[in-house]
Amino acid sequence: MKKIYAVWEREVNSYFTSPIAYVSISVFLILFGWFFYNSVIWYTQMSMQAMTSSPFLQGQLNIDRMVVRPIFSATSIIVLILTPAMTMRLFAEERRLGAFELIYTSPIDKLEWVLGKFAAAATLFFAFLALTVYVPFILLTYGEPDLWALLSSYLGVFLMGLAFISFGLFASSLTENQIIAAVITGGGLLFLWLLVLAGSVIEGAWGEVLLYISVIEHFNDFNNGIIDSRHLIYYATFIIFFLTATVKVLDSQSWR
Amino acid sequence: MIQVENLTKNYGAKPAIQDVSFQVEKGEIVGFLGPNAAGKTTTMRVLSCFFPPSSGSAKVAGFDVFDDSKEVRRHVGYMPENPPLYPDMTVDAYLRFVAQIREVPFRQISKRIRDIVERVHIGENRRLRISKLSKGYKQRVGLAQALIHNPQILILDEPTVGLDPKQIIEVRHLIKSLAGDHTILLSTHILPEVSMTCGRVIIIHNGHIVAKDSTEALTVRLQGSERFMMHIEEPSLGEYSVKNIEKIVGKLRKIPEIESVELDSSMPLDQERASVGHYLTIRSAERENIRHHAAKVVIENGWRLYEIRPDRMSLEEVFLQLTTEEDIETSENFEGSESEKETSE
Repeated sequence: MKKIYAVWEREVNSYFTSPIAYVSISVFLILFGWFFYNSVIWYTQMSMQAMTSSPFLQGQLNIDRMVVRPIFSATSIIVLILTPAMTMRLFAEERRLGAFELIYTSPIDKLEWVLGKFAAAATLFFAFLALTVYVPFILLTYGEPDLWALLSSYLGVFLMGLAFISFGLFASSLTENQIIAAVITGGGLLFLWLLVLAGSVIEGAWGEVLLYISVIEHFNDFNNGIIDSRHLIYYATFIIFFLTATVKVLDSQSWR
Repeated sequence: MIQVENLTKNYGAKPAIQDVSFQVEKGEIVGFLGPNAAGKTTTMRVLSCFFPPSSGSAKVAGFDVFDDSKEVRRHVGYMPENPPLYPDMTVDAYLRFVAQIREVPFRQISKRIRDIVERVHIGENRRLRISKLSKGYKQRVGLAQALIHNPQILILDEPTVGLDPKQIIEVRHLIKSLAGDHTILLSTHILPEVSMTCGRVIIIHNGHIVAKDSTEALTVRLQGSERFMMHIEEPSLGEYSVKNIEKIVGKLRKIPEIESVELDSSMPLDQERASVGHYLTIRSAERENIRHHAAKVVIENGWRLYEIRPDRMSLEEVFLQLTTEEDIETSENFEGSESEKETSE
């Protein structure tokens, strides 16, 4: 546990002493703010129109459906784009620096090493989300969104981000080249995401399977304010699978 | 402290080291000598549990590197050839990190760092980022990380590579000062380094051990005769003649124990040469010291004697002799010569 903490501390410091954390947090906040701004503007325009012209439309207006849900859908895309930036360095850089020699000859388990790094990336990602709390604050002040839907959306985004990070960590352990790690992460995650398209086209059991594997499919329920144990189990399995795979990759290094 | 038996490590099908066996006792400094790509790093990596051996066994601090790898790692401080540093960290933060993963008790970490930093003389740069340090400082930080958990055994892979002469001397002193408390195995391809720091030397070549002995014994063993050098000058330069030097050389040759006297032939024998003086290389048949006889002859003939010093075979020569011998033997009788060499110690 102490060693996990040591690795975590090192990685977090490394994020925040380099521009990585600041640049990725800034980009995330700008994009998030932009999506928020646009959906709020769109929502207010619709409300204005509804007030002046059509009383029918007024009943259709829903802040959860028209603001909260689109923002978090957009967030999941931003996270997909930023994950490689957060994770590509984690093992690839160490391999390049020769730090593998330090870790492998120290009495620390690979699992402790992987968990420390995973926790560090998760911390950075948590910082992303924590800095967006002004959005629910504004919404709750000026409107009446469903608080639980907001919270479950946050939980969904967070879990999905952790799953992305575990995949990115795995990709980073495969190579000493950060760009390759980033490409594998971005490409792999996009592929897992797009399975939802194939899944909805293909009929029968295979379609079901593809839909189940797709990372985004499990996020939608959270976005709608539903916390279903199936989705929790999916993300937990996803994370455990890729963290274990990372440990195995690192272990196998010694045998080459 | 370190027991290695028939250690073999293959990279793919190609063996990097083959049937390597040796021992290192507690408190010794042992030099691991060999040209580049001889298998030094591979052996050290096995001993520090970076990777397991393909076959054979190695025990470090009483634990097997394969079965008790974690226990071995607790007792070993390993400094790879390129120190494994994180350039974005300060020296302090880096050593703290290493101390934590090397299981230094939390309360002792600050004190340990203070001690080590003092010992390797990096105190003034503790708060600097590692990327800002010079090569020499980085090397010392690398040494500090190997020492931070006060290991019984230190494995140093080319600890002085890339340092300037002053730093090299400092690092050598540091390593010497660590002996006794720590058992040290260090590798190098710089031969004088071994004679200066190590009590014993193991010479490895093409993945095989070709010799292991104390540095003095190794030199003496390979050197049949005593050799020394004299720097002499003719007393008067007035009437120069080649005959004068020939005369004195002739007289020296008459001393019964002297086998040969060679005149340095890098310069022509002329007036200018005579003013610089002559360098003679003298070889005696027996290992007796006959320097005083030679000195007496020179003085009695009125010549000036400026310098006289033993000219031992340098480790370079020993090394070349061993490795070239090995090459010839391997081509003839690969396995036989190997085991002979190892038992001949």
